[in-house]
Amino acid sequence: MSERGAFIPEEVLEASFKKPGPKQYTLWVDLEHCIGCQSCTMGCKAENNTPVGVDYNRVIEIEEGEFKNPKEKPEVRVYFVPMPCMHCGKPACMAACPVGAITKREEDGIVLIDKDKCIGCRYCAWACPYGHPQFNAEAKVMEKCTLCVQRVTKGLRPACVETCTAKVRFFGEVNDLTKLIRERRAQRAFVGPTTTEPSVMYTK
Amino acid sequence: MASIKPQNYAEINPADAERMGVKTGDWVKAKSPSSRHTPYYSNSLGDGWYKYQVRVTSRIRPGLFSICQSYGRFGAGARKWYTNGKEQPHDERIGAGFHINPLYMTDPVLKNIVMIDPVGGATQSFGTPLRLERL
Amino acid sequence: MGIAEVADRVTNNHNMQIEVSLCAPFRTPKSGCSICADICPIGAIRISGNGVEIAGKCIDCGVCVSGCPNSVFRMKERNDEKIIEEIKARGKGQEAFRISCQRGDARADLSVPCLGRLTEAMFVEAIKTGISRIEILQPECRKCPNSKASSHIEGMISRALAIYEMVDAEKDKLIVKKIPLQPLLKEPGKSVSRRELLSAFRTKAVEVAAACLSEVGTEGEGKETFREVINKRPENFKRRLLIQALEGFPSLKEVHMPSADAMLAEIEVSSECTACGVCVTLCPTGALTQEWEEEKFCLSFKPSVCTNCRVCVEVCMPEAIWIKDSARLNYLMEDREIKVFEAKRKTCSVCRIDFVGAVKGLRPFGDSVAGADICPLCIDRHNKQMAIIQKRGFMRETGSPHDERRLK
Repeated sequence: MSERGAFIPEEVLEASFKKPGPKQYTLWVDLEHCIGCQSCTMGCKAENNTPVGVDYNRVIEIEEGEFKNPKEKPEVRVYFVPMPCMHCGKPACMAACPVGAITKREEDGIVLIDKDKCIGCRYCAWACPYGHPQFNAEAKVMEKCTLCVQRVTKGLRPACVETCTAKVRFFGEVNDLTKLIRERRAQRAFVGPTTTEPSVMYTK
Repeated sequence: MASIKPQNYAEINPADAERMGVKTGDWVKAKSPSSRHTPYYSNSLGDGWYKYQVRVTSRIRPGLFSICQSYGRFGAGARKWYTNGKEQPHDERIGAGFHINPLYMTDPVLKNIVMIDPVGGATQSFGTPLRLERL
Repeated sequence: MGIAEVADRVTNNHNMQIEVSLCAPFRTPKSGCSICADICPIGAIRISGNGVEIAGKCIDCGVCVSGCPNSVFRMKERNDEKIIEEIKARGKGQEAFRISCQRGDARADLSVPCLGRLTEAMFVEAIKTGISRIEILQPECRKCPNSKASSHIEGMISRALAIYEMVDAEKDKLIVKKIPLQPLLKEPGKSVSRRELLSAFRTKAVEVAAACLSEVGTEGEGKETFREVINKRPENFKRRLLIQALEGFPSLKEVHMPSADAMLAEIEVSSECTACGVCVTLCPTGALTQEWEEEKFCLSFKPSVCTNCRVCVEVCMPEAIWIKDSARLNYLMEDREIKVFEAKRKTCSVCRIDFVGAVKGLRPFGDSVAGADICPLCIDRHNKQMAIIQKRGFMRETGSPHDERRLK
């Protein structure tokens, strides 16, 4: 890429944006209580049978503060930020795909890769502000979090939500979750850029 | 699990790292009072020194060397192995990481057994003194 | 195929076949090509996510066959080969060879439904028969209901003239004569018995049903994936006919045409190329090929196959490939592959894929991995992660103004 890196021009992003559907299902992750146990990653792996190297959900560890003198009280804080696909309102991956293999479903706003169409070029991973789509070396296609669409259509919750040990992940329709957040008086935190209108919400 | 943590690393405090002049990703060698060279461990440097890759983090108190065990396997399908002359499937990713078993301190009297925690009965590792040098 | 589709085929266009894997908008939605839809006189062609389809009452004029640079459309009756045979048969030893359309001179030597049906190969075959000149008797296209094809006709004539220059034919070998627009000829009234009428229906219906049912039988065999379809690379028959027509000439002059009008393109590739292979995969005619050799990556281009469809330029994300301003028409006969990009091959220590060169502007992460080859995508992903961590963006109380609106 040139100095600017891979970016999707605003007009292309706008052009790829269809009218929003009736619902947007998404996740709410409470960062205050996430303990970084990676159960969500393992549950997701078991449910979606991903190969080694492909994780639909990655937990980023952020360390703040330094502890050098054992005589002083340590001021170190560690945060764990699980990052699944944000199922953006204006997915950059959808705008970047040269064959149109990525679509955002009308009925629930889930962004999916059509593995029959994907040619494995990795453009979606370049375009995603979070670097989420990953390459499956065996099938030679790109894969990404599907919000467990196979479970959601049956009325179940995604695997990561079910297996979370600290119960910090919630699944629901974005407006319902927003109301819940306000009721609980939780403070919104923003992870990364918001140019693509990510749906997943974080609170701290 | 190999997706989340494909290899283990030695965690040391930034104060120790500064003293030794290492950063995350650098190599150090460690030796315990009872460690000897074992040829089939791939990270053995001879004379009881074993090499490890370092991660500098404040989650460790200064003066401690912390490392995850159970990595650096050479059995359990990490290398080529045969049954009745037929080659069996193996995956080299199982063998990723660094072996730490040789660093456990052996009983100075019995010499052929590691120190055992008297209450739990498991291998004692927390009190093992180590010499650490930059590679 | 559902019954509605069968019925549609029966009544409309069993004469036209579509080879969709050659269609640029089918291969990539980023292609802006809409030639067929723009020139179809009755607007029967629709370009959609599934490529192109004939969605209306097709009148078999064949303008789309000539218009599509990649030969997506094929006619069963009176296809290009048949018309060339007609030209060869009627052109022998004639002084002037007149071509006209249904609304022009009905007594012309070659009568096509619309002048847009003509292709470059037909023009070249015409002068090979030894005639002195070709006269195109063109009525006022703009007044004809088929007027949408008129821009295509102008382009076709200018390409034919450029080819004539290349084969060293005199400029006045091709003349366009304006004639008045004639009404559509009707068959003179003929009385027909009821038995004859019904048996004519029956023959036609059986013929058409047989054509459709032969396709229905293959439905249960499992649909081909998109990847399989785009790898088929069926023949671009119009290019084959043009090359065959040009083979008769001993030497070709070097003639340049602006690339906006030319039927092929000359491409160039810059060092921004990341060897992603998308242009190779999506090129409809296979003009671009790639090779991962032991030490390097090579991208090659075969001009004689290129149709100037622009898919490569439209899909390339690093914008490393572009088309020169003008194209040499002699490259139609250039069969060898030209190397357009070459770079040293490296293997990423993180994700194990092969990549090329260093990419400007992407910093490797940490000195500890200096010397290790890391692919641009792994670097980019790491940088994005670092930005999320280090920018402390994640602990912001509020986000952009957009987020403010959503929170309300």
